[in-house]
Amino acid sequence: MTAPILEVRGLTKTFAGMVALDDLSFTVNEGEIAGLIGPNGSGKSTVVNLVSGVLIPTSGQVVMRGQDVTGAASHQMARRGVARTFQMIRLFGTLSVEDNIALALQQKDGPGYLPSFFRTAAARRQRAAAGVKARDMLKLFDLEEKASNLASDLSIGQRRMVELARGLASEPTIFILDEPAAGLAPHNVDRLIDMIRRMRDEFGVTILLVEHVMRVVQSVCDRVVVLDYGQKIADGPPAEVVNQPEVIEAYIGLGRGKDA
Amino acid sequence: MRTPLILLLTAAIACALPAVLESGYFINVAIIALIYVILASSLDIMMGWTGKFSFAHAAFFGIGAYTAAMMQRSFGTDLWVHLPAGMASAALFGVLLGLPSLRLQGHFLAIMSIAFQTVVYLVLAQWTDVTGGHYGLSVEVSPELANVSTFYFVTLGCTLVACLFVWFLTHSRFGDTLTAIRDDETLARTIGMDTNIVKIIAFAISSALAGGAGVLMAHHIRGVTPNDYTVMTSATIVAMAVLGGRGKFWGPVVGALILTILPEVLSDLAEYKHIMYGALLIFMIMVMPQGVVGALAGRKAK
Repeated sequence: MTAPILEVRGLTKTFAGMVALDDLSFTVNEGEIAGLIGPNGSGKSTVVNLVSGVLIPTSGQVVMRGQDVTGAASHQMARRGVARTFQMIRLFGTLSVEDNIALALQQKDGPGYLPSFFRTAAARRQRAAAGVKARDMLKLFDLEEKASNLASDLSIGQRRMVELARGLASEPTIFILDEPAAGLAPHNVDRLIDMIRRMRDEFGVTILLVEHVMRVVQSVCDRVVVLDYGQKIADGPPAEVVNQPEVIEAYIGLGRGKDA
Repeated sequence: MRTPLILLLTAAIACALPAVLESGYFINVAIIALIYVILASSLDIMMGWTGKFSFAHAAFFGIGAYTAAMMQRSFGTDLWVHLPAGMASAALFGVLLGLPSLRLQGHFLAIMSIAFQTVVYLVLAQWTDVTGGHYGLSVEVSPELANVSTFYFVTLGCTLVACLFVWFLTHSRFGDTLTAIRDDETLARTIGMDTNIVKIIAFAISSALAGGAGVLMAHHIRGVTPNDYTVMTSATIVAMAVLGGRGKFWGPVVGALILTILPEVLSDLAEYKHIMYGALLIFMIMVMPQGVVGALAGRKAK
């Protein structure tokens, strides 16, 4: 069996003595849509920030495709194929939608700074190719008409789709979605579910989905890891996990806990 | 590619200036204006494109000028040696200031830059044995550059090269990276940009151009004194970029021209120059934060 795409081993993070994450281990396999759920403050965002290089773990390891990448900075993680979206959507507000995506995919396929400065033929070709690929991505997300709009002019649902297009365009090894349904209207949530599935089915992207909205998790995830107070309390297919008493107790609440 | 062509055309027209302006006084004003065009444009690499405010630009301007004066005193060198040397020393100090301060967020770079500017001024003013103290040092110009019209052409050529460089830099992938840092540095890192290195390089380039402007200034006014390179000078350069429009190629160019030529036209009010700059800066930030060029471009877009 090949090494998992992402393997987290004994990950612990403390903030000034407060334990945000306590000896967490889980894996994400190639082509899988893995969910990471848990109540507010259970450590989900800390996991995302540790895996994407924003934070450095207190102890434990982050391993990608068998390689230890613990403590790498976020631009290094990006170069190793970690793409992510943000709970509070982040786009370059003064750039066009197309440029937002072209900029991200040029990190891998773009011209070097010097050829780009001297506008060599190869650099211009690479820049044009990035634009074409960005527009193709936008077409996939039904946003081709918005290509030349400023990213800051779009609605929240559209901005979320641009974030997905940006990550997908960079051909990530693993795509981390940090609460992508946050702030979306119900019909946009349907669209989100559809696009997450298509990213995996049509593009083979491995996805780690951190989510609050159970409907999204249950309809797209192959497997779910449940966190509570920084510890893993369940790991398995969503249908099984949601019926485990600890999960109901911790995540869904005491009301239904009594029934279980 | 339209902007570089317009720039070349403008420079070609500016070549006729010495023939039109009979008096050497106006040519002197034009030379100062061109030097400030280099200063404001190079500051805007940091301020407009990268979104990092620095009030130390006059320090790098001064480091370039003093490099020229001190090299001439020690080695008897001329302008063509001083230009690369002044740019290199300013870039070096830019990296020294940038390494600790560019990691800081928000207004801390601005505060650090004011501190650096003050230290540089104090060294220039107090280290009399090396810098000549308050009296400064004199600079001699080689005979072939002594004519004011000739020096004007040299300055015009340098300004053209500097402006073209800034345009090509900001309109390349490097410039896109600077814009990304300005808009959202966290996101820039997340998509794989090594923002710390890029900011240091941008700061070094910005400082080097200011150093080059300082070398020209030292040769133009035939000497250096610390009072030409104070935080007031830095604030004036900031005011030029803000007035013209940050993050727009023509913004700092237009701002520098307005703020060097206007005080000469209104020479009776020259004493109140800095008060006017201050008031103008507040007015611009409140009413027209995108600057004159930005406001005109915005109107055209509508």
